[in-house]
Amino acid sequence: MKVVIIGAGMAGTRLAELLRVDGHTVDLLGDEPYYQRHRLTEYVAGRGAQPGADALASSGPAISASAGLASVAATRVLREARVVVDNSGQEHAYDHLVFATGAEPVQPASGEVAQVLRTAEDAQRIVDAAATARRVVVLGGGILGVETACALRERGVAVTLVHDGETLLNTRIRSTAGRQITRLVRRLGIEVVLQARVQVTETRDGRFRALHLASGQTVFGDLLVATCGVQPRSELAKQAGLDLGAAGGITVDSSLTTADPRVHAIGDCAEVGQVVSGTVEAAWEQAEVLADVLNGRPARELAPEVLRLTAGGLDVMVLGDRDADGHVVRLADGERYVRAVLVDGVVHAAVTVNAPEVAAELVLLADRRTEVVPETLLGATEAPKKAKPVCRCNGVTRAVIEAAWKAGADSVDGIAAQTRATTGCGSCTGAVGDLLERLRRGETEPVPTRRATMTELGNAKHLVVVGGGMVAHRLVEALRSRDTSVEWRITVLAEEPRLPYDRVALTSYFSGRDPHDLSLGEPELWDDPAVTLRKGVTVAALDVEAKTVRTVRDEVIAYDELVLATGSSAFVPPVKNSDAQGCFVYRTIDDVAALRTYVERLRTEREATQETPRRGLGLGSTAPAESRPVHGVVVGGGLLGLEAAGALRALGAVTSVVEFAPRLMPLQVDEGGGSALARLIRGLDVDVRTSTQTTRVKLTSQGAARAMAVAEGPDLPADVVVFATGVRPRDELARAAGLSVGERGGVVVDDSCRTSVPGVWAIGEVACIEGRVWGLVAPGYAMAEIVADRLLGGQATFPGADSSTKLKLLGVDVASFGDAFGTTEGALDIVYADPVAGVYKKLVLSDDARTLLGGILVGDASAYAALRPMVGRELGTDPASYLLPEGAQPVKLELPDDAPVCSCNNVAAGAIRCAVRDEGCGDLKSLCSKTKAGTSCGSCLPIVKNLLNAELAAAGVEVSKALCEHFALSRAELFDVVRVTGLRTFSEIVERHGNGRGCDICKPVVASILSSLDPGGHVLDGERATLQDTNDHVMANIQKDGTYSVVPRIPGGEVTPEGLIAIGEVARDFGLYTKITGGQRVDLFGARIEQLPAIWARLVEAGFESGHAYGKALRTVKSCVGSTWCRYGVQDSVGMAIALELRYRGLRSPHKLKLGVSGCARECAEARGKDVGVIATESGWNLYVGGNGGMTPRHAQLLASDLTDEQLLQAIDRFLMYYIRTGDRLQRTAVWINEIDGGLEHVRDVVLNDSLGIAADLDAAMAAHVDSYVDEWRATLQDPAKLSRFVSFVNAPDQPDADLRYVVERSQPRPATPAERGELEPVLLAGPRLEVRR
Amino acid sequence: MSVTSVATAVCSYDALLPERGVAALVDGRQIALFRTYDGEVFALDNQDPFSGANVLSRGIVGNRGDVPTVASPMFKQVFDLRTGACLDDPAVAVAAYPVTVVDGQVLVSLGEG
Repeated sequence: MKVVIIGAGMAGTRLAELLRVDGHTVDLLGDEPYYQRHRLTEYVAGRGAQPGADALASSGPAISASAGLASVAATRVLREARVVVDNSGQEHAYDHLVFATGAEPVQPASGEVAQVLRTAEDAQRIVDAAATARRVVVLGGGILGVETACALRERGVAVTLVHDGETLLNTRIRSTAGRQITRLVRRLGIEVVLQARVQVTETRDGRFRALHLASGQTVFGDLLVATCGVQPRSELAKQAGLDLGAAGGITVDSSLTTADPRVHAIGDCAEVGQVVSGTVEAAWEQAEVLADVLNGRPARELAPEVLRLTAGGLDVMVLGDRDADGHVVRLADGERYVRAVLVDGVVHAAVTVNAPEVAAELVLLADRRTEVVPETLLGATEAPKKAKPVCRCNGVTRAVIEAAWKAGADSVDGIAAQTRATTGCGSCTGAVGDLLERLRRGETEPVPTRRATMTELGNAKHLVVVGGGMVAHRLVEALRSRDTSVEWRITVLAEEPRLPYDRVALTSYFSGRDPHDLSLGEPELWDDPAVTLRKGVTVAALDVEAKTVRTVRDEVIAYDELVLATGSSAFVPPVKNSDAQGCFVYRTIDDVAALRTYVERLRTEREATQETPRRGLGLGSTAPAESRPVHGVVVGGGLLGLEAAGALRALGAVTSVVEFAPRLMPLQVDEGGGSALARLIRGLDVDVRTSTQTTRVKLTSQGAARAMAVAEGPDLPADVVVFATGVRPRDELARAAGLSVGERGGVVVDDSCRTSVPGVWAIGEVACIEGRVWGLVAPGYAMAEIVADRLLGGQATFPGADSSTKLKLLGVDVASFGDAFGTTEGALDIVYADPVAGVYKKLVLSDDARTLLGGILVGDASAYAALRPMVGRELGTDPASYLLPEGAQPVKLELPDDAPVCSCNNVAAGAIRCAVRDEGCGDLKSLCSKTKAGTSCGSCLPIVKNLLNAELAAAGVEVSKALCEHFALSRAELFDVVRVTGLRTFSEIVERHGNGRGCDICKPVVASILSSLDPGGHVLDGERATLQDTNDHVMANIQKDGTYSVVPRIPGGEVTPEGLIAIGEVARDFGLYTKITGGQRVDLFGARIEQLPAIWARLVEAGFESGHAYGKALRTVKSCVGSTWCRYGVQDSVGMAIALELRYRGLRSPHKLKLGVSGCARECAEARGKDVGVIATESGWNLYVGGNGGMTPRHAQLLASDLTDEQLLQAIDRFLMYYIRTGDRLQRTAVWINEIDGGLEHVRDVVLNDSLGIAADLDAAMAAHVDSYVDEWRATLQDPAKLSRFVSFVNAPDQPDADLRYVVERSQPRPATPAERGELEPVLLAGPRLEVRR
Repeated sequence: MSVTSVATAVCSYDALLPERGVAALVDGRQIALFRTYDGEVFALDNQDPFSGANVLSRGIVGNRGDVPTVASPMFKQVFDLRTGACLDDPAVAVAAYPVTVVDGQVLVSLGEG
C-alpha cells in the first residue's frame, strides 16, 4: 500500500515509522525539519540539549530514512486522481493520504513583538533573549504557558505569567486543581496575573515593554512570550474540499478518517469530536491508532488524552476530560493534589499535582482499563522520600554531619562549629543531638549507591528482567549494591502496576495494613538512574536470536542479558465452574483486593436486605431474621490455603478448608502435626475437612457461587471459593522461545541459574533447578544473588535450598525444618504432644540420637529460632529439653560461626558477630540493615538479638548515655539521683555525681530537674539562676540581634477585647513588632533586656502572665471553638483547653510541650500534631500522645478513649510526669515513646494500669506542681534583687545597646539586614519607636 | 611603642554574681565580664562573632576540661574565658582583656586596643 503523509512533524514521522515496519511504502512530505517538540521546554529550562536536527540520528533508522523528502512541501491535493503535488511539481500518488500538517501558534492580536514557542529556532530565540531580559512576560496560562514560565524561571529569569482564566490551565482542569497549581507556580517565584484582558501591548524601539490590562494593571517586562494556543494548519485540506470543524481542524471520526475514506488526519491539524488536542502524546496515540486502521487491524479506542507537565519542580498530569462524571476519589495534603474520576471502577479522568508516582499509576490503570476499588486507589500514595537537610536554615544534611562526626566533632557544638548545623534557628539542635547519639551507637544508614553518570549508563550493558516480584527486586538490589562501576543498566518489566511487594505478607493486607506497606526495600532503589522499573508491562514474546523481548503493546526491547523472574501463577484444579463469579485465587494484591471487595459487598448486601422490613406477605414469622452469614470455602489445606482461610475469617466469613490429602499442610508436617494443627484451627471456628475431594461449584441462578459439592457427603455452602491448590511456574515465554523446560514445568537452569540458551537466566519460582521448582522465597533470593554475582564475573553456584518454614497461620505457630519427615536412614523421632495445650513437637535425630536432622513444631514454635541453625550438628544436650514447654529458653546455645541464622538471606552467625564486633553495629536495626539478617520473614530476629547482646556484652560495650563531660548519667538517671538524694543545688549535685562546673548542656538539664522536683522555686533563685539558658534567665526569647520577644499567656487562645487592646498598647508604646504565633497567642518582638520589667509590669497589670514561650516547658494548649459556638462541636474544647493550660502552665520538661484540644473529630485544633492531643467524642475525650510538628512531624497515637474529664486529667498528669522523669534531654514525647522499652504499650500500662506502681507518686508530683505555681514575671517584679539583673550595662543600666538598627517594613520595625546597616545612621530609634518607662 | 594600659573601673566586685556575666561599657566598647565559681574575673568582647549580636555576657558559664568557658546564648559556641578563643571553631576568637580587682572594684584595661 502506498501512503502519502503531509507533514513531517512528530505525528507524521511516527506514523511513517509504524507503517514502514508493516512494509508499506510511505512518502513523507515535510517542510520543516523533524525535532522533538516536547523537549523544547526542557531546553528552555536549561536542562536539555537543543532538540535540533541532530536528534534525528539517535531516533532510529526509520526516521532518518525519511530525511530525503524532508524539504519537500505539498502544494496541492487532487483527491479524484489520488495524487499530491509537491513544490517541485512532482506528483505523489497515494492509496491513503494522511494530513499531519500540525498547527501554528496563535499570535495575540496586538503582539507582533510576541515570541512564540513552536520550533527549535523559537526556543533558541527565547533562550537568547532571556539571557539579557530582566523580566519575561508569558501570555497564556495553558499547559505550554505554564511549562514555559516554569522553564524560564528554572533558568533564573524573573517571570510574569498573564492568563485570561480564573485559574491556570482552567480549560483543562477544574478550579480546585487549578488554584493548587496557581499556588505552586507562584511558590516557584513566578508572578501570576489572572483574569487578565490585554488591551494594549506597549513597545519601545520595536521591543516589548509592557502589557496594559483592562483592569488598569500594567505588566512590564522586556520579553513577551505568547503561548495562547494553536491554530490547526488546514489550508491545504480546505483547498482539497475537506470539512473543517469549529476549532479549524480537519474533521475526522474516531478512526481518524475524514468523509473521504482514503483521507485521514492526525495530530494538531485533526479535530476529533470538536477537540484539537495539541499535545505530542495525543499525536502519537493517534498515529498508532491510524496505523492499526490502515493495516486493517481492529482499531482500539483512543485512550483518554494525557497531558504531562514537568518543569521547575512542578509536576502536573491531566488525564481525560475535566468534566467527566463518575465516582470521585480525591487526595490533597498541601503538597500533593490528586483527583481521579472512576466510571465502573475504571479510571476515566484524573488530575495529579506533584504526585508523579500516583500519576504514573493512574495513567497505567486508565490505559489498561483495570478495575480498581476506589477506596484503595489512593491508599498506596506516600509522599516520596527526599534527603531532607537536618538543619534547614543552613541546608546541612545528615551526610555532612556524619562526615563532621567522623572527623572528630563529638558534640552538638562541635558539629555546629564545623557544619553550621543548629546555628540558624536552632530548632534542629534536638535532631542533631539524636543523630549524634545514633552515630555514637554506631547506627548508620546505608550509603546510597552512587548515582550512575550518563556516560556510564551509555556504556553499560543492558539487563532486562522479566517479572517484578520479590526475586526480581532482590536481583536488582543485589546487582546495584555491588555493581559500583555501573557495568549494567537494568530494566525491570513488571506485569503488576505497582512496586515489587512482599507476597509472603499478603494476608496482612486484611489486618488493615496499607498495601503500600508491603512494598519491598527502599523506594530510592527505583530512583536510581541505572534502574528502570516499568510497571504494568506484559511481555508477549522472547527472541533469543535477536536478543530482544516484545511487549504485548508491540514494543521491542533489546537486551544484552535476560533474566526470567516471571514467578508462578495460581493453579486451579479441574473443578467444574471454578471460574464462576465468587471464585478466586490467592496470589497477587489484586486477587486479594478483589476477594476482599467481593466478600465485603456480599456482607453489605445481606445486612441491607435484613434491615428492609418484609411486609405485605402475611406469611412466616415477623421476627427480624438474622442476616445470612457469608460462607467461604478454601480449596487446599496447604500453606496458602490456611493463609486464605485466615483472610476469609478476618473478613467475617464462615470459613471451611477442604484438603484432598489426609492432613493439613501435607508438605510440611507429619500426621501428628497435621492433626494438632487441624485441632487448633477448628478451635478458631474454621471447619477443616481432610481427605475430601471437591467436584464442582454449584451456582445461583445469576451464575455466582452458591455451594461446593464434594465427592462424599453433603454440599458445603460457599458464597466465596478460594482455590489455593498450588502454583505452576509461568514458563510459557520460555517454552515459546524454545528454552528447555522441566518435566513438571519450570525453566531448566544449571546451578548458576543459566538456562539452555546463552544470555538468558531464570530465577525464582519459574526456575527448575536441580530438577525441582522451588515455591519458597529463600531459594529464589539465593538464585537472585547468584545471577547478580555471575553478571559481575563471579562464580557463585546454587547452594541447595532449605525448605524450612516457620509461619503463624491464623495465629497458630507452625514450623518445619530439615528432614522433617525422618527420611534419613536410621533416623529417630522424639515427639512431645500435648493435645490439651494444642502443642505437637517432633525432633528428628540421627541414629545415635546426637545430631539434629530436622523437626516439626506446631502450636509453639519458639524453639525454631534456636533449633534450625543446629540442623546437621550435635545438639550437645538432652534433645528432649528443647521440646518441653519451658525447654526453649534455659538451654544456652553457642552457635558455631558457620551456622546459618537467617536462611532467607543466608546470613551465618559469624557474619552477625562480625558486624557487631568489627563494623560497629550496636543495635538490632543497624545490625539487620547491615547484614540483611531478619529482614525477610523475621523469624530469626530473636536469635539475632541474642547474638547482638552476647557480642556487645563480650566486648564490654556499654552504650554511653552520658549527658556531657560533666555527668556520666543520662537525664533520666540524673533525675532519679536528684529525686532520691534530695540534693537541691547544682554545686552539690555536680560535686557528688559529676565533675567540673558544668556547661550549657548539663546546667539547663539540672535547672529543669530542679524545677520539676522543687516546683515552688523561682528560676532566678540563688544558684539556680546560673543554670538557666538566657531565655529562661530573662524569661523571654532571644532573637537574632540580641533583643527578646515577649509572649503573654493566652490560655486556650481565648482572649477578651480588653486583653487584646492591652497587648496592642504595650506593643505600640514599646515599638514592638507584633505577630500572631502558631500557638494562638501574640508575640511581641524587639524588647531590649532593660525594657522587659516595664513590659511585664504593663502586661501583668492587664491580667496577663508569662506564657513560658521561652522554656523547655508547657507552651500552649491550642483549641478549636468547640461546642459552645460550633455547630459540629460535641464538647467544650475551649473550656478544656483553658483548664489544661492553667493546670500545666510553667511545667518544665525535657523539651517543649504542646497540647491541643479539638471539640469534635474534625480536629480543627490539629491536636494530633501535639505532644498531648485531646479530641472530643460523643461520650467524652480521646487522648492521643506523642505528636509533634516541626522538622519530623509525627501524628499522636491513641492512648485512651472516651475518658471523663477527671480520667483525662489524671491520664495526662501521669503521662507528662512520667515523660518528665524518664525523657532524655531535648527528646520530644514522640521520640521518647519510640525509645522507651515497650513503647506506647508500656506507657499506656504505666498511665492507665499503674504497671510500675508509681502512679500515686506521679499524681502527687503533678499536684505539687499545680499547687505551687506562681507567675514568674510577677515574682520577678516583686523582687528588687532579681530585677537588678535586667540592665543593659552594669555601669550604664538604662543605656540601650547602640548597635541595634531597625527599618520599617509593612508598618512595623524589623532588624536591619547587614546591607542595610551600612546605610543607616547610627541612631537607635528608627521607625515607630517610643519608649515609655513607668 | 610603649604599651600604656589604662585600667577603667567598671563596677564593684559584688555586682558580679558567680557563674554569670554582665555587660559593661568601657570607653564606648561593649565588654562582657564574668565571675567564675572560684571567684576569678574575666573580660571578653560582648559581641558574639557568630551572630554579631552583643550577647556573650548572657551565656552560661562553666568549664570544658581545665578551661573556664562561656557558651554563646545565640548558637552555643563555647569560648575560653581566659583567651577569648572559640573552642568549637579554632579560626574564631573574641578579644580578651586583663581584669584586676582593686579595693573591691573591678578594673578592665582595654590596652592598646
